[in-house]
Amino acid sequence: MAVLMATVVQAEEFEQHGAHEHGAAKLNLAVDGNALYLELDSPAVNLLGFEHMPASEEEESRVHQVEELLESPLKLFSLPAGAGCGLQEQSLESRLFEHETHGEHDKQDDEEHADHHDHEESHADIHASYVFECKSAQNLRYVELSLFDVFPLTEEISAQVISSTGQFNLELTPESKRIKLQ
Amino acid sequence: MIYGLTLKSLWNRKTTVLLTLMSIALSVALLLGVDHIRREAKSSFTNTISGTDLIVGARSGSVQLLLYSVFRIGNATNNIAWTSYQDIAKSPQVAWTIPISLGDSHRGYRVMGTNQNYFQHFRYGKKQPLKLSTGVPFSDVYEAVLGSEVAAKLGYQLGEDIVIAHGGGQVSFASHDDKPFKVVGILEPTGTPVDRTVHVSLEGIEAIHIGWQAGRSTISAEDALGYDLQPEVITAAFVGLKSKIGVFALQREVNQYRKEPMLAILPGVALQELWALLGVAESALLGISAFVVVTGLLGMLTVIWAGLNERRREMAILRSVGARPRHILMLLMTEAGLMVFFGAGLGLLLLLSLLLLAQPLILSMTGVQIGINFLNHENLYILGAVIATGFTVGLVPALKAYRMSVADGMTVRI
Repeated sequence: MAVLMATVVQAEEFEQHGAHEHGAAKLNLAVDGNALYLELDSPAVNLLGFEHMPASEEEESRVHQVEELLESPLKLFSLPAGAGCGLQEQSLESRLFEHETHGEHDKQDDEEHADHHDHEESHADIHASYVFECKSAQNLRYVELSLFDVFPLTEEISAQVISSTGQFNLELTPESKRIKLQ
Repeated sequence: MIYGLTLKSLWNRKTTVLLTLMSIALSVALLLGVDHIRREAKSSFTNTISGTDLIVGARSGSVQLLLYSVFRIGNATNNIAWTSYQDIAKSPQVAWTIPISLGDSHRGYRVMGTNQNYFQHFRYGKKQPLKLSTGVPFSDVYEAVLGSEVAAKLGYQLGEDIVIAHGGGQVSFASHDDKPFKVVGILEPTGTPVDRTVHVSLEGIEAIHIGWQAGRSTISAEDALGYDLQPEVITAAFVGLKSKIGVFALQREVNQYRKEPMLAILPGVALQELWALLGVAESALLGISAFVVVTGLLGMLTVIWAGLNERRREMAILRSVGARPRHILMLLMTEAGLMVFFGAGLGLLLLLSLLLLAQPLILSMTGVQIGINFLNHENLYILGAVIATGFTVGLVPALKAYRMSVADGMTVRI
């Protein structure tokens, strides 16, 4: 019996390294009642074209441009007009955007960011999450990822979806970018 | 007219025709059977767990975590600390959690330690809760609730004592026979691995392992109750959230937990991954059965083709009584069509009887409930396609007979 033989792991903290694959991004989508939750995790290069801290003015303006795009999620996700969805909350996180404060930053996040600085990593991720409130959620039949057009460096997105029909995952590409929810 | 003639002509060659029918029947039964079992297994798999938002275990692969926590297949690579589990359970988004502890067995059936939440919150199929057919959920340390199959196969009644063995094998020499468990409840059948599980409390699992040294226990059942039976580790936990919106945040929180490497999976997504893995084998099987059908039809073609020369006289007689070459064509096509049609019909009967025979066996061996109703839309399409192909295949010898009867005219050179 493994239970007693296993030594209990003491509360030692260890470093964790997330996966990072250029061109590929992750999307989480959940629908519950009238709420629609969308969460995009992408290597920064997919959106920006680079991953280092902006060095030139050109890069600085690209970062600003991407930030603005990410702040208007309806340009990235097309929702059926009949569903009447309005943005309720959003948060944007990336060490590349750190000059400004976005959304809530809890303590742990700040610590993580500090870690990133210490290591001076060459890879960066962008994390964006959105909560929509839909007046007629029964019309929310699909979500289409227009972000493939906005960020052409994104080649594939693997999505985890929780809808009224259950949990499933699917691979999205510029050719098939619609997530059916019903 | 032609139909009647065809039937009579077929009857005249009944042995060959019957053998052809058999080969078509077998191939059709195989194709539909493979497709049916594939579907049933999939729905049985997806019905195993429902309503659970996340499964949390030690960090490994999502499919592996799903297999050992839900299907009781294989073993955990690691356990998770009770304190880590408590951290998750106390998270504000969490509505309920079911801790589970695996690793022991009873006469080949897995023993699972859990708590009352299991009976309250575990759902399978279409969000169906677990129901007891007799008795009550366990409340004491040395009490057990049996899955329906465990009780039926081993013939256990309420109040009986059972002994839990160390490890997961069918035969185990190290058993916890000094600390028997009393059967207090038997669950209704669910068609899931729950039926093949012996459920005891986490404290029960802890108690039988206290003082466990070199294959025997040094502490009696009563004394063990005096110890702190709070488990230090568990194998995995099922988690239900208040809102689906919070699932991903909690998943990330668990996956980035700083004190030990843990993994949280969405059971639906992991099931899909598992199915994608099995999909290759599944398509291969389906492909092979399709080729078997083709072989069956080719066999029929061979039989008709080979028979044509022997039947020149038959054709000539038909022509002499006024049949036109196109009637001969029709006759042979109808013949092929009828053979495939009856062959397919026979195949359906064969499959039905096989399923009726195999259903209880499959259920007891794998716990997968195979339904009898295999005629869905897609299978009807497959069947239609097979029969249509049969007719088309019949066209080949029919055209030959057509040409022969035109050329031969009334005179037969034998």
